[in-house]
Amino acid sequence: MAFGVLLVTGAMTHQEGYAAGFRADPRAKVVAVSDEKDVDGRRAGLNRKLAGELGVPYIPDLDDALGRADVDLVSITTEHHRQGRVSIRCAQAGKHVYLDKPLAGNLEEARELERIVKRRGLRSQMFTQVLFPPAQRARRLVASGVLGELRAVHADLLFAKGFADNQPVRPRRENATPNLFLVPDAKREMFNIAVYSLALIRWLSGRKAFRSVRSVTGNYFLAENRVRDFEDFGILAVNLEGGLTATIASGRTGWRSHAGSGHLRTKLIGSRGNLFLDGQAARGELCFEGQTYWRVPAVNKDDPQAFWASSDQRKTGAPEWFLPPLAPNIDQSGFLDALERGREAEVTVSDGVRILEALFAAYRSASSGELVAIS
Amino acid sequence: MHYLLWLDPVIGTRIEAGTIGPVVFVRAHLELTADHGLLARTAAAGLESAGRWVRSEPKSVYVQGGPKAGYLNLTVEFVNGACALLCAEAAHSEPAVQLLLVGRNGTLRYDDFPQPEQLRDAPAPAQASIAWIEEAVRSGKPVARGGR
Repeated sequence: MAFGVLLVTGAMTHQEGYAAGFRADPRAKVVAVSDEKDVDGRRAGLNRKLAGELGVPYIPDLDDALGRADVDLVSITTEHHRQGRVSIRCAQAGKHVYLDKPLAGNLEEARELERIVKRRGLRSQMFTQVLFPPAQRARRLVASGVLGELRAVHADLLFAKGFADNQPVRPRRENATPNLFLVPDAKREMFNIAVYSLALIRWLSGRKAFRSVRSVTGNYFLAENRVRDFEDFGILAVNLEGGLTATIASGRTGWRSHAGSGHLRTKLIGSRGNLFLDGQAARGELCFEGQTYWRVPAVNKDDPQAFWASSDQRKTGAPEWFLPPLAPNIDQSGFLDALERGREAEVTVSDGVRILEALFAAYRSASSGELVAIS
Repeated sequence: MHYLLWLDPVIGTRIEAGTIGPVVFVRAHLELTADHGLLARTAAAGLESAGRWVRSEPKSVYVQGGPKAGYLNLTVEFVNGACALLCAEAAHSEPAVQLLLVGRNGTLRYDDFPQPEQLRDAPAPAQASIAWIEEAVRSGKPVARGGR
């Protein structure tokens, strides 16, 4: 019998992709969309929209939805400042949890979620890219022994979306304790993108603990982020247990910063060898007469930075890139594997908490200019 | 002429053309020597080039690794708000360079495999740059320009 999946939060979130992933796997059946009963009208409308598209009911009160016997797991993609409390309610109801990244908007709720998941013996997974082909290749190479002992990992992930404006470069004064990370027109990009690299590094290293971090953030590209005082770029230098080190570049750098979806670069430093991995190396490239320079999509006021798949914003240019199509359900099927086989997922809530601790320490470092211990 | 002295204006000319806009971030992997004793010198040369490319002075440098580890990772904050991740890594086989410069209006990627004759001389950064990096290695903390 298929696992019953409740979707918490609907359109214009990563749920668009996660729902498609669960629906593509015959082991799962999406049964409803729900959310907190006091969400605003925009959010409620977008939740109803996804429910309608999927042909499932929208249940406006999350507690009613969690009371359904046909719900085995919950896919949760709320704004980060709500995600901790919503996930806790789902776990308290005894449901397995599949979570958007990063885990939550504060550490207290994330740690409480971790305690409940452990106490109740639930399965959990946070969405990352570790099951995607570039990360799988990196792990195969590390496991092959060709590098010797892994000494350093460098992971850059830059999303080539959004419209960069022409403001002068200025130093950024970072907030040491941010509590808002996602609004309809802007995201804190270090928070939302470096999470992938931190997950990759933790996963590649066999879950070595993060010890300390130095970070610098910037507002280089996006007017919406500048207005919100959200960084659009961040770099991190991370020290892990056992002397392993890592550096990360993360950001949303504008449509014209890459011919494809953005720079995805990893360098592995070992005792016997080094490897540079271009995550976009597997690609097709079209060159033909009549190509013009970049054609970027028109500005979509509801999604100016092209966060969500449903706003269908794509660019073309010269040369035009196309990437190997990914199965839509790589990460979701990974979670269903974990449920079916009764084993831990590749990136669990506990991993997500450790990553969140590193991200919050990174904000303190960017604010103070100092190396900050990660507790 | 050392490879890095050749590379600096090659990249600088492209930046001067203005196509990618002001450079806000430099990522460099400089895998140019098997001699761990030359890593600080290589990193210092990279630091000086990055300063020219972002048109600013470093404000703070944090260094991971060291000669024994076989690499130096520099996390650099510039006075104008730009930043850089500069890595001098011991070459195990052939020398290699990977550069990514992020400008406000585009990016410049440059990958190369320098010829042995381009690496015959040691890079020659200012002694102050080398001393700054060595102090950052010793301290294990970010070192501000005034603190060197």
